[in-house]
Amino acid sequence: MLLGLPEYIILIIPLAGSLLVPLVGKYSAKARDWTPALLMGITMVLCWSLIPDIGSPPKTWNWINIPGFVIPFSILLDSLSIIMAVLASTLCFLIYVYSTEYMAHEGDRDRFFFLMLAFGGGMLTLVLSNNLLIAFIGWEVMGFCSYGLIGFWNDKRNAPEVDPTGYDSTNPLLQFETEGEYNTHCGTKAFIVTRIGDAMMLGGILLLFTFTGTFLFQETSVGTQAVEGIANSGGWINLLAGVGLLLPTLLMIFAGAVGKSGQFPLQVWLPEAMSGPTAVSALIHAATMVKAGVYITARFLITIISATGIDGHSASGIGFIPLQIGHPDAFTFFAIVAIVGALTAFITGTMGMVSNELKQVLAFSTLSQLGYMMLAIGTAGMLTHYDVAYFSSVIHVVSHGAFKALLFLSAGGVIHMVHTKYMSKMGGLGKYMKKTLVVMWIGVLALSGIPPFSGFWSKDSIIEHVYALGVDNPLGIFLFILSVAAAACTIFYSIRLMGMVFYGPSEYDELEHEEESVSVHLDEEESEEPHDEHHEVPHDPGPAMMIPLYILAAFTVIAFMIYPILQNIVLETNRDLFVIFFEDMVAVKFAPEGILPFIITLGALALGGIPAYWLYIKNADTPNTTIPERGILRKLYNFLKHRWYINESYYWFVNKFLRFADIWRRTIDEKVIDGIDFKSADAAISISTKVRWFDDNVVDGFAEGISTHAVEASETSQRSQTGRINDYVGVVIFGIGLLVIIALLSMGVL
Amino acid sequence: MQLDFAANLINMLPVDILVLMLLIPLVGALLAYLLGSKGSRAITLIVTTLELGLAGLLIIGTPSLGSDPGGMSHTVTYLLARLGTDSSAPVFEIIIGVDGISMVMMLLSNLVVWIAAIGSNHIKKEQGLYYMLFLVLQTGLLGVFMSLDLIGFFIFWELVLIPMFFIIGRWGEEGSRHAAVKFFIYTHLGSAVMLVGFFYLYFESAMVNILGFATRVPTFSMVALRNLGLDPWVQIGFALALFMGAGVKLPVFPLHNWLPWAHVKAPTPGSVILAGILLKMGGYAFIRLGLWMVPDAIARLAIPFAIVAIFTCIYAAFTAMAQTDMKSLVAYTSINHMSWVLLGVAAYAAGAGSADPAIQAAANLAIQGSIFMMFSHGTIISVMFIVAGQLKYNAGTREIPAIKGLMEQAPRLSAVLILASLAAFGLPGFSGFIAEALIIFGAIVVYNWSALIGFGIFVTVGYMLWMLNRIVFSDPDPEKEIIEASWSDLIAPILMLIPVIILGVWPDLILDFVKPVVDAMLAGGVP
Repeated sequence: MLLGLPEYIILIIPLAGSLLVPLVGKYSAKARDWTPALLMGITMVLCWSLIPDIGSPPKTWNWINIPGFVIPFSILLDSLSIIMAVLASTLCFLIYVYSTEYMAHEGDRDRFFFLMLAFGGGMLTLVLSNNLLIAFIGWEVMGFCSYGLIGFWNDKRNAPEVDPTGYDSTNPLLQFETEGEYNTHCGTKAFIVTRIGDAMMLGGILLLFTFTGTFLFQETSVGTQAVEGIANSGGWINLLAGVGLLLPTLLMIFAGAVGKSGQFPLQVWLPEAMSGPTAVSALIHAATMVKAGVYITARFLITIISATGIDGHSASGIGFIPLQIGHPDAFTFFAIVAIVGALTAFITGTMGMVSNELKQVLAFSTLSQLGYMMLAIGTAGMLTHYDVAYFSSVIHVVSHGAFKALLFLSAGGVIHMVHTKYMSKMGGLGKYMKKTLVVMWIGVLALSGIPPFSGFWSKDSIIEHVYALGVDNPLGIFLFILSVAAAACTIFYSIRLMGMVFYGPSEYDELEHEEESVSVHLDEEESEEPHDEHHEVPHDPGPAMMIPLYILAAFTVIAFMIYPILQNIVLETNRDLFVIFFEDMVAVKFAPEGILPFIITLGALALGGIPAYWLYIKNADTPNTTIPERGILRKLYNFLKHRWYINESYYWFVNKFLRFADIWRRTIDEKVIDGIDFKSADAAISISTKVRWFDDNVVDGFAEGISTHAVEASETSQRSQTGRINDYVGVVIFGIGLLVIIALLSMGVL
Repeated sequence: MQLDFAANLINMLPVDILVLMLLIPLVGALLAYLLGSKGSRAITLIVTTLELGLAGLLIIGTPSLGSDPGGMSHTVTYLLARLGTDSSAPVFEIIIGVDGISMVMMLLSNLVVWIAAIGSNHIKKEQGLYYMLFLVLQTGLLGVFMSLDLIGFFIFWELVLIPMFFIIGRWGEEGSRHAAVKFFIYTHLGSAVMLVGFFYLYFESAMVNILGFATRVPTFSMVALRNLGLDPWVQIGFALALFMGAGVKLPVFPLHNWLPWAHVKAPTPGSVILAGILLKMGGYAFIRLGLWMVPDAIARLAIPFAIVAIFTCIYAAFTAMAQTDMKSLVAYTSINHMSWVLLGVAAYAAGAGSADPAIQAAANLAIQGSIFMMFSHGTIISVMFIVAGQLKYNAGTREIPAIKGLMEQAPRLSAVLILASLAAFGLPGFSGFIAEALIIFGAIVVYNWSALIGFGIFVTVGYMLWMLNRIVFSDPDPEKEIIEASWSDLIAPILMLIPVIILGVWPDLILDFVKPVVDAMLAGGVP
């Protein structure tokens, strides 16, 4: 398809186009701002046009072609890659359109839009590449762009905003003079934490290459030369398992996914990554970056299943027969994936319940939902009918991408208006930003898993698959409990967020009556930005920001009509869409095997939702003093507020390490090693001085000395030129006599 | 390499291209002398540019290994005298001809002479005489590289000496006369010993048998001498004489002391030609008269040669470190680099006879490295000398401790100096690195202890960076003003940096001309 263009044009347009952004910026700021949206729009159309090609073999071009060592450049055209590409390009396009208005008043937009476009290009490279090495390049492009974008506001001179309920002031490593420094710290933190995973992942990729001799997932051919891929033969699994390296290799690759997707224990970077512009947060959370880890894990799931040659397809319904697939080590691997996912879903869900920062709540919710996706992939790897569970993780990626982009973009609108990121300083905005309120409610309900919004279908099917696993396997019961508890947390913090932002008394209520009396609090906020419009009452943002929101909200509402289509695509079936909807999506909830988890989930939603509604919406006008100063609840609150102390323990460790490095520098490096350096430099100079003296005086002096003495000798001999004939005759006779004596001696006469 | 259009062009010339290349500078010299200060610089620029073009034409139009005896091309014989009347009487003749190695050296000579001509813009005194000597010098240099007989070789070798002596003596700075005389005595003494060696070889080539009768007509022809297969002990005698002549030129410890004097006191173009080509004459003599003509002798002398080379390298590096005059530092760098050439020669000589193909390959690498080192050093050191000379005009002094903050006050000059220094200590990406790498990779296989020369690199990096630190990156001295060099002064070094960088990434540009000759030498020489 693709209008006859080569498929790699999809990667070229955003990656090469990002370099054009600063060039366009030289001529027109407006054109520059719209360049990423335009280019990504083209890319999006091309990605959509790939849909009819789903299932065709990979398209391949030459990349490295040394005889006997061929690494081609290859584009995957299977359902997973194309769904991810369509999702990523579409969300990127909407976010870029949103950015044109959101960033319109910021400086240095060349850098911003360059990084944004390259970010999208990196994600597309990752999801479309059939070559693990090139996928890793896209992976790293994203890592770099995220670093640049999270720390984008690195030159903000104002002091960082203090969380009214925070504890950061107690951490010596988190004291920053300016907001710019804080932002830089967050970008660096994201980069370093993800790099830990990336380094392990590169090791895993190379280990895999060592044993398989290929970087490709699917078999392909360059010209006439066939290049094998790991999906097509299972020999490598037994080979790796034979030397005991299968589990380590897979886990090292998964470590990359853990870092990028913010899974436990590397989840610490994502909440801080909120310091970037909101468009960046939306991009990272909805379309790119964090989905990369889920993608690569899902890719390895279907690759391993394809390699082991087990037919895991089921015609319909949910796979209820747990059975280990492939090699025992592969089963262990997927069990670890599922456990990590479930733990992440629960841990970060609880953290989200107490966070005070608007975007941070959303960040925790992202982590939690990513945990669900990982859980689904891991569960799929442990079920016989893997594909239905795998499908639920795919639709969760899709639905989460849409509603999370929606939530972030509307949250961005709120922050843009009120100029604070802390929810305790907001409140009562519902009456001023009515459109935002509506779209955000849609997003929040989808996030909580309330039917019929998109999140319900995907999340509930994940929970049901986990339950199916739990019927046979005690591990499944553990995972099921965690996932249901996480669902309860989700609805609690979702409704809490809405209540704290949109309900209750508003600071703007007075402002509406007296335009002049600006509250002290706002004065502080705006001392750096003398825009008059900020003194106005908040209102809904403009069309470039709202239209993407409407599109995303619409998708979130009608998602149940789209999932059957996706199911046909992913499961490679051709069933009637209504049949799928009624049988697989609705009827299964009331079937004997599905009714129990459905009821438990509904109970969990009620358990989380009702107190939240009562606390934050019903009683939004009363001050929030429900938690007593002492007692178990306060302890729990502190524990969650400190994010289970995981983050702080890392800081403690880093701090200790830095101190050790400092001691090492002062006592060993400067004194001993530097000392050796300086001493040897001094020695070299003193040797060289001596050698030079030798050269000047001995070697040269010898030659000069000979010439001087020769001159002296000739001058001395000049004195013998007396001019008296007698002297000369005497010398001649003496000489002849000498010669005669020598001659006689030599002839043996004497 | 041989391109048809270039070969056709060469054939279309009315006279043999080599004769033409020898004659053009002589005619130019006459014209320059007659025109005096009015047009001599223009004439010189025209002649040197023409010569550079001819050298380029020659190298792309001539096979590296030609069809004439000894693998030569364009061979021309000029009879000087015949000692007798019949055809079997010994003859004195001048034979010229080229193969890949000579062509590369001729290209280097013409390139360096061209750059030196461009860089002669500060010569204002007696221009006519200066440029006359300059062009005669060029004839001598080209003659050395194209001579195929010992008589002609010696004539051209000495022809180089005289103009250089006057250039140093007349146009040099304070104390240049002493330097010129010193230069003359050292090189002439070396040449005299070499001449004795030449005659020794001539008489031995008669191959007197036990009965005392000559079996052959004695000859000076290098090709004939090589094909004769002389007794190794005769070869060694000759090789020792050669070591005196070529060793002074190269130079090696302890025959090197003329060099710092001559380089420092000579005018900048003089230094450029001295370092750029005159030293290469020594290296070329080692390869052409030594490895090519009497390989057995050099093979037996390889270990002492290698030891002398390594010692010279480290010794010169240390001496350079202690220099305060910028030109002295560059001069000792020259000694330091040229010792690599001798190491490559020694490694080749020792490895070429080996039956082990790995050692033969290493020998091949080492000698290619030697030739490449001569070319790359000729280009790099020219830039260094021009910049060092430029310092005198722009900073008022060449004393390293007295120049401060060059980067801030003269960024253009600093950039050229930095690039040249990086190239000089062999940073990858510059031609110097390729040369050192080829030589050491080859030598280390033949003699593993030759890795010691790596210490020389280490010290070289040290003193080069230290020099840059003191001159370029120091804080400027407010009392001393440094003027930025004008673009007209920087044309020559910038042009010369182009081959340095190109050869750093594409060494085969030069090596392709050399490889066939080296392969033929390894295969036993006699075609």
